[in-house]
Amino acid sequence: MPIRRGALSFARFRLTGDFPKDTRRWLTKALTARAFEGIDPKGDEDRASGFVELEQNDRTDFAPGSVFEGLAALFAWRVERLRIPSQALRGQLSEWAQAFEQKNGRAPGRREKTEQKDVIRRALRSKTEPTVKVFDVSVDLAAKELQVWATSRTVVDEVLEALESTLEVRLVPCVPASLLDADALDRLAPTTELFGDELAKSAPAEVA
Amino acid sequence: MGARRQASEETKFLRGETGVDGAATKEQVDPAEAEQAKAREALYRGRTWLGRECLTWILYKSNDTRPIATLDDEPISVLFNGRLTLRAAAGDITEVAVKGVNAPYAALIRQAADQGLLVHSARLTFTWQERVYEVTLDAEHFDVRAGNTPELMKEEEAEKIAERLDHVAALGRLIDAVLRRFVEVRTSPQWKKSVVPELKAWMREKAPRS
Repeated sequence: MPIRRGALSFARFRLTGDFPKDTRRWLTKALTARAFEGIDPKGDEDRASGFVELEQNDRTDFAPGSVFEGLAALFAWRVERLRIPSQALRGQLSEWAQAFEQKNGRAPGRREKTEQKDVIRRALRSKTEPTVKVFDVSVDLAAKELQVWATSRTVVDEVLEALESTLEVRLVPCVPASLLDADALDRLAPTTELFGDELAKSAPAEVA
Repeated sequence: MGARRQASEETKFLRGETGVDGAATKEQVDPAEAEQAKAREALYRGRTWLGRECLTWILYKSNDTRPIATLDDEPISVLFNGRLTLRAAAGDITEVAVKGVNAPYAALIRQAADQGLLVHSARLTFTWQERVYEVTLDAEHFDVRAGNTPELMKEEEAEKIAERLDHVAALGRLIDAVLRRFVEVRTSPQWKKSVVPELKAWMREKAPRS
């Protein structure tokens, strides 16, 4: 678990918006609303994601003792993906095609093959274990800062989307642009002296 | 027309690769033009240009080893050490990556920066109070990558987490303090008047003869 050990790798965001007084309850409610639910082996989805506890990443109780550490909230984002092994799928389909040809005296048609492929895929789906990836998330409640301990931008964006919708706050990346108000930012343009002559021809001019 | 060739043309049409006149539906894109467009898109996405200006300014400021900003009235020193990536939005070279402890301060880097290749990602060391943090930052997201904290002093597991989180918070405040200082400079009239000319002069400095 990267929060606990190893090198620090995380994306940082500031929480902006209105916060209720009981931040612990507010956060727990949000985590529960977007808690992880596993993939249904009988369904069609092959990916599932949601919040889990940090210590036991198969639990979604979010008891205060398991989430809060002083003025920090610690939890995780679990992603499960079901990948049907294509080799097994191809092998079983080929066996079925041979048996079909022996029985009927002709090779199966394209539609018959597609139907059988679907039957095999469903059978394999119930036998295949999903791959699990867990990414730590920490919130500094005092500084109102969020850290998503992931390097994949897809995961970072997914966690942001889940938290923004459930907490009803904006999560602003900690980059130089976020330290300026919208008007000041609109007045700025790339410094043409630094970016070179070629960019200067197309770059918008900075407003003094 | 051979049957095979006719079939091939029909297939292309059915795939949407050609129109009724047999001409390609998609224009062939010149790879050089595509590369330039990609580099330009990367510059403007999320105002990465401001991040590149910031990292280049930090590199310039760190050159004389004086503190770059303050946090809680304590000076923050920054040093570049190791891998550095420079990127441009135009020109024949759109990316340069260098390795080596002193590589960021080499004359070659300054020359490249003078040609519009600004710092896109770098390994930095922040020193504040007794604390030293090493981290890799990039101009687009300023995400913390492969960060190292000072050695943890606590031994109990729960205390260790609290100490580690304290370092995470301190590192965040350090980065913010430096970014805030850059934004102050960048939005002041001094940026165009004196800072940019100083930066360009530094980029054009000749390497001392050994």
